Amino acid sequence: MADNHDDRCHVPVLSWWELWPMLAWGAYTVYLYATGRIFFLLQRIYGHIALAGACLLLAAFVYGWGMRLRRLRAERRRQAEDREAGRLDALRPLCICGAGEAGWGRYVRSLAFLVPLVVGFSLPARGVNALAAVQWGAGDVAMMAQLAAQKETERTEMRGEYGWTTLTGVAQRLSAGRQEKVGAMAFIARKKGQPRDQFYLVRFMMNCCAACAQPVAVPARLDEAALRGRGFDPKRVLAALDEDQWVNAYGRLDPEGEVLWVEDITFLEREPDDPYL
Amino acid sequence: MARLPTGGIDRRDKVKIAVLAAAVLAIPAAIVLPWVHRHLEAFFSGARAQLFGQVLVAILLEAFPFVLIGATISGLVEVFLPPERLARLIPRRLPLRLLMAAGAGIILPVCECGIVPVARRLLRKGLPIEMAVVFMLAGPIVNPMVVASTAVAFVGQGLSLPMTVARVACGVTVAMLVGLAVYAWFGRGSARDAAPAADDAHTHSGCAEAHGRHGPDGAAGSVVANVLSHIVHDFLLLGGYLLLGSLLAAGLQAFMPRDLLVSVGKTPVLATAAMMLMAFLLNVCSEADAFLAAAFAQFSFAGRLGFLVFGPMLDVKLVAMYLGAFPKRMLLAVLLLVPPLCLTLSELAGWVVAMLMG
Repeated sequence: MADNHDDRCHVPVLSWWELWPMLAWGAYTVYLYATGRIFFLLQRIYGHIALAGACLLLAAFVYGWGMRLRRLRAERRRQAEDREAGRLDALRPLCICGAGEAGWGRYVRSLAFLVPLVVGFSLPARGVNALAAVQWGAGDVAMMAQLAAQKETERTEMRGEYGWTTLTGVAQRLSAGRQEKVGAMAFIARKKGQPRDQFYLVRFMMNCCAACAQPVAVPARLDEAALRGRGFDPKRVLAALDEDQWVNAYGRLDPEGEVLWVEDITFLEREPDDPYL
Repeated sequence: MARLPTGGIDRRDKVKIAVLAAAVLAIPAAIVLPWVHRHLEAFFSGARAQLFGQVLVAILLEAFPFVLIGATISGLVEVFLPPERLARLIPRRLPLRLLMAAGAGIILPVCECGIVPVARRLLRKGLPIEMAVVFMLAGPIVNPMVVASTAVAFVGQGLSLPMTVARVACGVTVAMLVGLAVYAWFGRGSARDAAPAADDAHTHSGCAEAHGRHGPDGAAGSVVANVLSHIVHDFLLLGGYLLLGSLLAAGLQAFMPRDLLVSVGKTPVLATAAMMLMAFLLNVCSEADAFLAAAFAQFSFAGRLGFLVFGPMLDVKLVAMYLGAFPKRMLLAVLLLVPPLCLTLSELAGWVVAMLMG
């Protein structure tokens, strides 16, 4: 295709269509990293790797753009000289402006990079939601125990009568058959058709990215008598327990029923900065 | 003396026109864009759409740096490794060729996203197709990072050594068997002629790279420019296919419950097939998949091994990337042979480990 073109063109010049996705993705990733939103989607180490990748993309863009400008300037000079001399090489403009490149594929591919960018900018800054917990296997006790075993959770502190731990700690204690009073931070999820008074306390464990996050889910129910004793109206508590609502839940473990009976609860206004375990 | 009008537009006029055009476009943009953004935000606040979006963006964010690493290696290979030198490195005997390709993943430690541009480039350079297949399939499994993460993930279950050895052994065996089959199918020689159309269309602003004119010509700037142009091209080409695969994967993750797959955990062969299907749908990076496999405690050793061997070879995003990078016959061979081989070898390895460990 281009064998017959000017020798001066043998260092390729990147077209605007090739360069803009690099700028867009580089800038978008840096934005996600700077605002901390990247950690809602990627595990920490992968977040840092993504930033390094973004810097490479931006560097490639800057270099490519600079190269393009230099070549354009040189070409304009040559064309001016050619005009003065009364000759015009018909092929040379093609290798600069990118005309004559193969097909529409590259333009479609280039524009396709817009799709995830638009989606990304429209997403709320939050972690994986309750629907994912249900879709991805919340409630599988064997898996939950194994997941919990991957994390060190023996850092218990007492808050009142409750030992405060992470949700993995709660899951481990439950699967180990321990009857304890514990508290943990989590969000609410329910399976389809599950009664409102039965729910899961869920947090996700992130291995690499949101696509492979695994839910650690502890089945829970409200202990209405205990809640009343602490001045709560169980009906109002139940009404406020929507999916994705973040709570600090305190209760007693019932290993036989494989459930946490919630005796005290605090509703959080927003999810924590790091929603993952 | 007054200058005669030349009919052209000078630089100042161009700037004025650009500023005027920007001002005219800015007004509707200022109205339309916030409106579009508001509606999109409302749409993605829905649980399923949100999940779809999160998975899509997460897979891309995670995979792009590795594709970029692969594209960089690919660009360096293109510029600094002439086909003649590559030809001299290739052993004549088939078993040696396959072993060399399987071991190359240790020297070029890239994961499954990054290895596609490298394998594609080597294929274009004249690497025999059977070697490209073995390198592509075994590379992400013998990668030292992957071996280390597998060993660490299964320490708690006392399966660190058997799982790591079984993963590497099964991965290399599957890759070599597929390589042999491809060799038998394609015959001798490289697959340069059979490369997909996208390869032939690979040009940079009219400069055809396939003509071999991009070797280092002494000027450092032009070498960097050549490498860069190949990086950009590979990134865009495979990034486009990665995007397609990610869209599919995100759709499957957001709309398909995993309960059905998890429910077959205790049925021997079915469990391994289910885990392989799970690996295909989840698109987990090979450097982190061992931690996920370790969590599927209700599945047998063979099931989890199937997940670890099959995932780096085939998943939704990888199939999309293979489509853009390799000849269709090669892709067909991989699609037809990898699943049954992974299933059989995982079951066999599971049986052997069960015998050895009592």
